Amino acid sequence: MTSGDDDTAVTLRRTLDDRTADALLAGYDVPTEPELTALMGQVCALTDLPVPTPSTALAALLEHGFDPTAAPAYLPVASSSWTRGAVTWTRSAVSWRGRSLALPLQLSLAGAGCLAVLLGVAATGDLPAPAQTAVADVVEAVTPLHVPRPPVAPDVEPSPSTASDPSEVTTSPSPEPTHPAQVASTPASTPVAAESGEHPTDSQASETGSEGQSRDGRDQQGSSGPAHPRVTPTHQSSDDSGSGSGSVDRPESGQDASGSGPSSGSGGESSSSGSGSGGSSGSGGSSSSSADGSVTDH
Amino acid sequence: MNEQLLEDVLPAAQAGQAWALRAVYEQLAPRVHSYLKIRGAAEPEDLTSEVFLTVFAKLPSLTGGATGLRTFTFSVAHARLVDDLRKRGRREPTATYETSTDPRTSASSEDEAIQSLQTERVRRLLDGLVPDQRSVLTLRVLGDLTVEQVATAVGKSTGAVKQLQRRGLLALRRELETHDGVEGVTL
Repeated sequence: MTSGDDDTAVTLRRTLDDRTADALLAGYDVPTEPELTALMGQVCALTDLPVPTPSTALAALLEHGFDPTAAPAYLPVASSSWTRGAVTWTRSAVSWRGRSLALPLQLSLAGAGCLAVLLGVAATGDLPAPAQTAVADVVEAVTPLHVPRPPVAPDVEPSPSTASDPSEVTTSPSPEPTHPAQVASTPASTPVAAESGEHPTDSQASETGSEGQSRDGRDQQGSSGPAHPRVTPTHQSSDDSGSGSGSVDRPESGQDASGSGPSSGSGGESSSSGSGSGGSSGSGGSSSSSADGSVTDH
Repeated sequence: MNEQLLEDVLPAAQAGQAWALRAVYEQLAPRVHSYLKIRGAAEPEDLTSEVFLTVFAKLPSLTGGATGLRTFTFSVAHARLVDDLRKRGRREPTATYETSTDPRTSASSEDEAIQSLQTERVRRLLDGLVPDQRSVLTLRVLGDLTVEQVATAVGKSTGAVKQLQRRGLLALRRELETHDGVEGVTL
């Protein structure tokens, strides 16, 4: 027999089977294990203690009992699981609050983005005239910045003859509502554009045209009579872009324009700047100059 | 622990009758208190009260009779003990013991000394075990639970519980052979 066999024998002797272990733990006397039997007896003796004093809450419960159908109001409040529950509730509330703040934040960011785009477009002056004016008013009132404004027509009293002439409205080929300020441009406006060297926009052209028309219309209509229809400004086509005229009628409407050319009150034979060019184009003229030659349309 | 008494009073206790609750408490509280005390709970009495407050709250929906009640009670006690040990491991105790404010009394100083020696010896032996072995052995002896019930209480398989109890008993035997049991304790 080797030393290894001795170790195996010792190990087998010291091993406990499940039955012996169960008997020891159940409090039975196991003759082969006197030390453990005595120890388990001492452990069992530890249970021979007086009943511990209950806490206040438990004493009240033991005194009065409870209603099994009622809510368990007698549960311990300070237990760890309840504390974890409270922490979880708090975390969920915080996360819920974070989610509730997300929507207003997104809306604010979207609004700020839209405002930035609006101000950017307004800075380039590409907004429609009313919007450009409104944005310029707001920006200049709130900030020291300057936003370009669209040219503003001075207050001019409409011509009684113009206003009373029903042919201005009925003969207008423009889809836009006829306004006395949009009727026609006059030579009075063309020098401004010529001097500035700029190509006025539609609104500028119409407004400058209206200015001229309102001035010259009164003067010239008085001589030509109100019976003649008047050429109203229309939208510019691509080939008319950059022209300083207030409006140029299309060739297909040139007959109307030709008919209106003489009746524009600008003399008919030549033309005033905006409507005059329309009249000349309607009469077959490839290009025309204004009456004073200050604006040239191509 | 009178198993038949527990079985008899359990329906009334589930109905919330105060006398039945007291009977359940008197039957189980000493063992629960001993288990918590031998496992080193800081405030065994307070923890025992917490355990029974939890058990009584779940009592109306409890199934399994007296065996189920005992298993559930020691399951809650084990969970509370683990929480208590973890909390004590994280922070220092904030209160000191004052003998003048302790309402507990004992029969005599001699009995107290003997009880203290026995308790101290058993605790010293059990402290030499792995925590899982200590839990299994104390639940089996103090709680009078079967292997399956202990497995339910500690959340392990029955095979693991058997292995733990066997190794725990072997470790105790080695410790007893080394230190010569009660005779080794000097006054």
